[in-house]
Amino acid sequence: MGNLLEVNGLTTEFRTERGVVRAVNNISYHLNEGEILGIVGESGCGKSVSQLSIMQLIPSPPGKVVAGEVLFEGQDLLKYTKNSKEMCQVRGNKISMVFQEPMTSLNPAMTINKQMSEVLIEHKGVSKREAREVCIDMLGQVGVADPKRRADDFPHHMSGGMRQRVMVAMAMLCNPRLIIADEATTALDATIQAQLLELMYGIVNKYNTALVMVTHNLGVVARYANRINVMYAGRIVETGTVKEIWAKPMHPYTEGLLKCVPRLGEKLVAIKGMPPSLIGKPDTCPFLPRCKDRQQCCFENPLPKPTLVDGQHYTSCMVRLEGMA
Amino acid sequence: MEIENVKGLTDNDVEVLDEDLLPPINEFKRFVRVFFKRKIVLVSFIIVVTMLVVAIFADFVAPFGPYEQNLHNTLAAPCSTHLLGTDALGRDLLSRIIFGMRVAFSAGISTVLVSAFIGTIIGLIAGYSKGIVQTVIMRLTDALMSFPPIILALLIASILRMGVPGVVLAIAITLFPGYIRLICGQVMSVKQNDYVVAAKVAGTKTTHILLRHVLPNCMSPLIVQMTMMMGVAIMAEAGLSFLGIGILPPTPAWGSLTFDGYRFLMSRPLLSIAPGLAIMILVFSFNMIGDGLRDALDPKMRGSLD
Amino acid sequence: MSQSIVDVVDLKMHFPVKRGFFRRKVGEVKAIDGVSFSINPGETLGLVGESGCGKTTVGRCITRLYRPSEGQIIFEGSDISHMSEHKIRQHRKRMSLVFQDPYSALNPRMHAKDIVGETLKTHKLVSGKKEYEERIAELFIMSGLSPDMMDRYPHEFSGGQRQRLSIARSLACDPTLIVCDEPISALDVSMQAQILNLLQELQEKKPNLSYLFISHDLLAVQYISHRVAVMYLGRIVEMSNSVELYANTLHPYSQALLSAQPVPDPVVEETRSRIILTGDVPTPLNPPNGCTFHTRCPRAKPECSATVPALVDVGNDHFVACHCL
Repeated sequence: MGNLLEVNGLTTEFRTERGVVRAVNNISYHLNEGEILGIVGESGCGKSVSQLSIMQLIPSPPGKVVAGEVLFEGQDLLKYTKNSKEMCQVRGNKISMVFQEPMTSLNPAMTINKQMSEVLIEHKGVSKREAREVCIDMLGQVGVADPKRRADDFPHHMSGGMRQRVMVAMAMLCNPRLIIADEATTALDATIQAQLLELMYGIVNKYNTALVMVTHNLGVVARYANRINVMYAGRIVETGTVKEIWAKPMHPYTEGLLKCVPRLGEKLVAIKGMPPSLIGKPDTCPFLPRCKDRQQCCFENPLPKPTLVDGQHYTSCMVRLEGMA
Repeated sequence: MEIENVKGLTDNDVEVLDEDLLPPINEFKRFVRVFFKRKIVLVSFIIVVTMLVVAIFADFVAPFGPYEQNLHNTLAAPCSTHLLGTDALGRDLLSRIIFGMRVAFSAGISTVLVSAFIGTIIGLIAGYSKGIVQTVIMRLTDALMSFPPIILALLIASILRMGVPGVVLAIAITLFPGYIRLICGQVMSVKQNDYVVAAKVAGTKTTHILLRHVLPNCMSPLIVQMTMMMGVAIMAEAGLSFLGIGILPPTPAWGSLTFDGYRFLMSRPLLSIAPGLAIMILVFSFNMIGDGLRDALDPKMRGSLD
Repeated sequence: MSQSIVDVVDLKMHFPVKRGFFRRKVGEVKAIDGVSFSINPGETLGLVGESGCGKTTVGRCITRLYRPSEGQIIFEGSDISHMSEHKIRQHRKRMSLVFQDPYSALNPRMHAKDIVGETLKTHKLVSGKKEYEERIAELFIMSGLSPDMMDRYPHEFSGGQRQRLSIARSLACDPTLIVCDEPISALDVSMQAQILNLLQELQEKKPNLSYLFISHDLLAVQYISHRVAVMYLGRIVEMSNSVELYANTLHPYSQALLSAQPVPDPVVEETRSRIILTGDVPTPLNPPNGCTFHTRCPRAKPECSATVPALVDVGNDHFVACHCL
């Protein structure tokens, strides 16, 4: 399995009234074919922005990708201009996205079939009739009952869970190499969320599609992801396989995050304080103000690049690494 | 960070560094910057302020009194003493326009205040109550709004026949349903907010909720509407005066000045055009300011720069 | 029974659906259809369910934002279910509400101190400016905020701090019951833990403070509640103390809900089997006959669609409404 996606030094900034916000700060990671990668972090940590940057979907202005490269199948996506033919070929065709709000992602004035067919006709150049057949087949695969009839429904005829299924079907239409699910199931109820996650998991396995799950829900990641990136204040502070990270979290933030999910019979340990603003911050570890393991060296040196712990496990906490050595 | 210092942490070894989460924004500075971003708004603002100052100090600014006649020098062409010439009674046109400014502003401001006051109160009641009260008020408002405003104003003004107060009242009556509709809509959306629900649960009295929680959060669109309505009110006053049922001569109102000059349109076009132009400039400026205010007060504009 | 803070007896809330010009009643949404429970002093009752199950409506009936269609709400010994708005005012200071959305919960045009202190003024519990400010400072400290922040406006606070403000406001009149309506759902994981801990600490300090904790997050409910009630389509399907409910889940819906909630631990997740419910939650406008869950229930029998199961005591303080036991 080769690298499907390789992100090097991606940095995205937003110009706001309060100053320049560095929402994504020099992040690098890679993704193999057919792999499921979880990107975990709290709101404002840059997990969504990093994915939108890859797709060049950052509203600009105020946002701008200021540095880095995104190698997808060996091609640097950031070299293409935003609305170039090449970029449009990648979006929707090779990489597709599923967003949190199914209601705003679907056009309320068009039938499901029409919206789905449009994608196919655009990218694959098939006829309307063929497109319809593919759509109905895909709707059936995502568990929409009676897809022939439902294809002619409008989005508001469907429930939230159903709409999100349609979004998944739409994302799968062109048989992409990568799906980015940006908090795709967060807005749904627990039982519906479970249905949808199982469905997505089944589909990406069947077609060997890579999946990036952007979420704040550690439980979802624990069950489905192979590897995870933990993001904090625009940086990846720790990355590794799910088991490595759960067994031995090597960054105090990851550890804190794992501990603040309530578990039976355990006292909840909250992380003190709150996430920092991202304006004009020094290069030191962003978690420093809240960290309970910090030492003098943390204040003096900039945040190191994620360093190998073992296996696929990398962390950027110096103190923990030194403690190991 | 402040929280932690106070709370007396359980694990005292962690002392969180001071960090300002949200750097404070100077709301006023932000407002001024967005407001004056467009040059046209800045120019309009300067025009209105200048006109207002001139209107207040008309006695000192105007070269002649508004009623000073000089029957030896009627319908004079513009010259160095009479910059815009004189009218049929030999009165200085520039001075009459300057004093007319005073009339325009006082009529405009009082109309807007009266109509906004009445409209806001009724709108608050309509928006906060539900069911039959709201339906009745809103249907009556619709009925009032579907009546042609100029005819309504004409009707009321000609019945009242009492100069500035009559005109103000007539125009205010045609304008207040607009405020009802605006405020009613605003209230209906503001009252959905949890802080209104929280106040209800806490047993706060309804009038207090309306004045403390609901009204302050309806202010932005109200201010925009009031600015826009300044232009409309000045225009309506000029219209009524032009038709001769508004502010009556010899009081120098722009509308009646335009009408007076209208008879000499061929020989002395400036007599009619100059006050007409004054109306246009002032109304336009108010509309531009209203536009600028709408941008500056829009919460969606917050936080963005470009 | 007399010593409990709230007794809810067979509460029903049916919202009429009106259509057309004459606002004719064309149907009813049975948001709550016969719910009974009680909360003792110092106790936390967790109310769990998916969206549309009526849990929020229960909270709003108890705080009398809605006038219930049927049933009784006995608050500190007096039946408030049909009391007039004027009479109920004296009970209002004994109960308060904490909301989900920390942004819409605070009036953006008021200072933090007035947001917190408004109820003190309403019920004339303080005299003089000095006493007022002292009391507010005390409330700020109790909720983990610095009294230095008193003169700020809500937009200068972060999400977690806003929720603390909201809690400070709800504590102002020293209430006996706080209805927490999804108080942590809109917050980040690390903030959630802080708020949960804060609520617990407050209860330790004020032994008579009770919570009705409404949430869809089973883990959080389990963590904070003494007793838990699971709701489905306007009815309580299972109720027990939190240890018993999670250890010995009996109702098929509770089981499905519990299993749908991903456990944030990859080792547990690997071995755990999940019950994935099919279909969507039926609309409360036209709920199924009999047991409302029978349309999705894996164990449904013919009699389930005929009669409504009663909530029966199965011993060990455990109540279940199911025909299949």
